Amino acid sequence: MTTTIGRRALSATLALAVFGLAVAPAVASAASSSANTTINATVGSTISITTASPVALSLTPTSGGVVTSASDTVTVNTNNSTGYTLTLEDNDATTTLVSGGNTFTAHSGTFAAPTALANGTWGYAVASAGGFDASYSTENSNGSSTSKWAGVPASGSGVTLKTTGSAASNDTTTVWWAAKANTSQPNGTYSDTVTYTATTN
Amino acid sequence: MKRVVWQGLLAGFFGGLVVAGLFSGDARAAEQSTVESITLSPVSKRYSLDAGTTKQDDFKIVNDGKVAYTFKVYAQPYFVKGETYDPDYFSKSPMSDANKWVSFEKQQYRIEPGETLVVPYTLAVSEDAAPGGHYGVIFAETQASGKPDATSVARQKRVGMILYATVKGEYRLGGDVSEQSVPFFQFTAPLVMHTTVKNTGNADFLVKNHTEISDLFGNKKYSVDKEYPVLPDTSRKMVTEWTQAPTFGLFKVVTTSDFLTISKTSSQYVLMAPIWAYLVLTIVVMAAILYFARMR
Repeated sequence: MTTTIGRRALSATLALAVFGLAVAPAVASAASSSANTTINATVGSTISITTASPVALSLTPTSGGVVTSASDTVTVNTNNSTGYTLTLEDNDATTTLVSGGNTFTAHSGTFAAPTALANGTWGYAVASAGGFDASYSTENSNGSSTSKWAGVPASGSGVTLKTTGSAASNDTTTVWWAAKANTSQPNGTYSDTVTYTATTN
Repeated sequence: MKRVVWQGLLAGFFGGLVVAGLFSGDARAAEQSTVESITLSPVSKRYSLDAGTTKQDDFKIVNDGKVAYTFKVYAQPYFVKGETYDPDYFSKSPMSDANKWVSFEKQQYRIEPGETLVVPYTLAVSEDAAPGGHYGVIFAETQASGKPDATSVARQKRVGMILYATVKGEYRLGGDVSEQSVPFFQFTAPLVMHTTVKNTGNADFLVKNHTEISDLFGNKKYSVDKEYPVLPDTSRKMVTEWTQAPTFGLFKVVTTSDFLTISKTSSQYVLMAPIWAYLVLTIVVMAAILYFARMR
């Protein structure tokens, strides 16, 4: 008798437990509600331009003239899908490297038709662009240099160094700078300021 | 004895590598510490304004380099030269005058590494501004600092935000696709195609180019969407390149250009094969001709 009651109680308990498990999700879901949230992420368009080390040119002239050159790495980043244009010009109308009353004049070569530097001139080059040589390397007072250079254009007459057609990630352009001097060049610290400009296409 | 000598030489070699590694690390660290970088956002702004109205707006400058610097802000004319759209920041075009409407609260700022600055400006459209397009560019330009201690070239860097402003009123919008071209024979990647659109009105519009490249079986190999502004009285050549094009293949290139109410689609085939393949083919064909001629 007792065993039968116990067995029935156990069965009832089990049945109740199973019922509770079956109903609980329904009860839980009946009490829940949902809502949608729209997540928007806006990515702005950007363009950046970066340079690192200063460009210093140290010349030890000889009577025949020597060339010293150094490189400048210009890095552009943009997420604009049509890319960017990089230009170069002097920051003013005076395109000379100046030390007091003494100067290096801007070389007469151009981006399309660069030529070897003459004594007392300075210029720039971008390997494999325009009419420049396929490659350039650092020259230190090289008396037999044959590398080709162009003169920096004055402000307002900028030259396009590079133009791209798609977004750029750490896109680098190496710009080489050089000056040539012989012993008639007065000693001193000569300098000029140039401007790199990056705008999107 | 020989072993001692070799051991000594090896020790010296590896010791030298370690020392060289230390110095190169120092050189790299020194170069990184002089990194000067200026970032501008956004890269362009479009406005539709009434003559005589004023609008306040701003842009951001980020110093993501390693050194602090001073930068100045100013506006210049903006237009373009040629179909390649070389920028012209000194244009005398009557439409490149939006720079005259721009003024700044401050014209020079100092920014530290990691800092972001919001630069406000005001656009005051002149009362007599003609309806149609007006263009300019706002520059943020780093300033060279300090006196050089060696013969050197000091570099200033500037980034530009192009202003596309349309003054409301009666103006013309019009344009046409001058050319959609894909050369059939192309010898090396990238596979190049271009579209030229001419703007015949006096306000700019955006051209949306969609290019899809598929093989002979219709499998899509590449697709790209780009948007180009085209300024009034100009033709713009828009070049699309598939840089990952394979060495050999015959492809179908479909280009669609949408602007204003115009949609123009062109479909052309391109044969990608290096030039030596044509030489080999020519030699084989000539050899075959000679062979059959001899057989006869």
